[in-house]
Amino acid sequence: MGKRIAIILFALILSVSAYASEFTPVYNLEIPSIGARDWQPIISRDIISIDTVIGIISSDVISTKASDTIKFTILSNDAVIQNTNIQIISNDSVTQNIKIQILSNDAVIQNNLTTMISGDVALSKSPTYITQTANGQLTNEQAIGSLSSGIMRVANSTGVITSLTDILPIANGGTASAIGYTVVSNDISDLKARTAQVKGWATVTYSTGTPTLQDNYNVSGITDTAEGRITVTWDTDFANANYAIAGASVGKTGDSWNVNIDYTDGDGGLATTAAKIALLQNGTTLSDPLRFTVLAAGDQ
Amino acid sequence: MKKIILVTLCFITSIASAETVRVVYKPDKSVIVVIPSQGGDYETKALDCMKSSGLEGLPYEDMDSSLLPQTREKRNYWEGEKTKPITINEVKYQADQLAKPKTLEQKVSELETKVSALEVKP
Repeated sequence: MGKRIAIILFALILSVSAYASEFTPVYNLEIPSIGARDWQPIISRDIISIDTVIGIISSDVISTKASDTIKFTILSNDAVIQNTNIQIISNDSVTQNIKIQILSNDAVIQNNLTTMISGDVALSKSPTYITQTANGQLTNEQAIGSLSSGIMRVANSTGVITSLTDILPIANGGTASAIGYTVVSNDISDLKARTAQVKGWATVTYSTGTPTLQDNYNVSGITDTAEGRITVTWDTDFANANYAIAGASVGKTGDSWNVNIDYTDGDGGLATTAAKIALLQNGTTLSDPLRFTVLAAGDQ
Repeated sequence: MKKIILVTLCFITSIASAETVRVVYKPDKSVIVVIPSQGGDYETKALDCMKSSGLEGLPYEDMDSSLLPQTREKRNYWEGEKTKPITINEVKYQADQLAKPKTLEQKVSELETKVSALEVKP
């Protein structure tokens, strides 16, 4: 009897000790007040017990790789606090790259929260984006590492573009630059000044029964309506009928030959589509000269 | 012989400079000639010229410019209809010439002719 009791007691002691050895101690983490939050120390080495509260607790790169990605937790619903609290803890650049996450559903906050933390250019390039923040203004511009592909860098500097790495000065109020014969500018006054040039001209000669359009710019054709009267039709029309026009002629027999706007139809002579010309011998008689030229400048 | 060569040269030159033009016939039989610029689409340019000159809807023909009168002297008297050759209205031309106010040179010339005729009389 005494032996049985002794055996039972011994077995009981063994089972209790075995149960006790499997018992996991619980470490309670005290969440500090806002003011004390920044210096709250890690009080447990047991990752499992605190991973949903603080985040990364190990300085071991290997150990953080496997599980830390999902352990970032934003403790505040305040978007501003979320923003400042997101940090990269691993020194492993690959891990840093994949751990940046947007926690807010607010698009504006998402935009502002995306921040490059890695100093590795190769890593920092892929998640960076160009965003238009206002009319003509871009942020997060970056240079293209390779000339073969990608988006050209856009900045507020000026200069002549000779390759993909040069700066395109069209954004952020940059002044004019030249790409070959094309002027790039978003400066309205500059564009106006550069486009205030002759927009059409024609040189016409009379040697046979039909006048000849010897040469021209922006002219669809000429219309011979009568002796001393001809219409020059513009290929690209003018924006309004207030464009300027001028002419010169080579007369016959020493007489003067005026190149006038033909006002005789009462329609003003100048239309956006064409200019009616009257050629006057000695300023009075409609007649054909040997040659005349007209040129026009204005908005199109 | 020299004359033949000269005429031949003029003929060759006129052929070389010939181009296709659009002749538009107005209801009063007067003729408008549209000369589109070189290059690009001829039809587009010709229609653009017709539109800007208010000639849309009028009958027209495309022809070589060598088929038109080769001087500008009586340009305002050119007349035509579709499928018919361009003609010059000589009656109207003569009437306009007579109706024109005479220049001083013309008046002097006429007086000199009259004086000469008087001097011849016995």
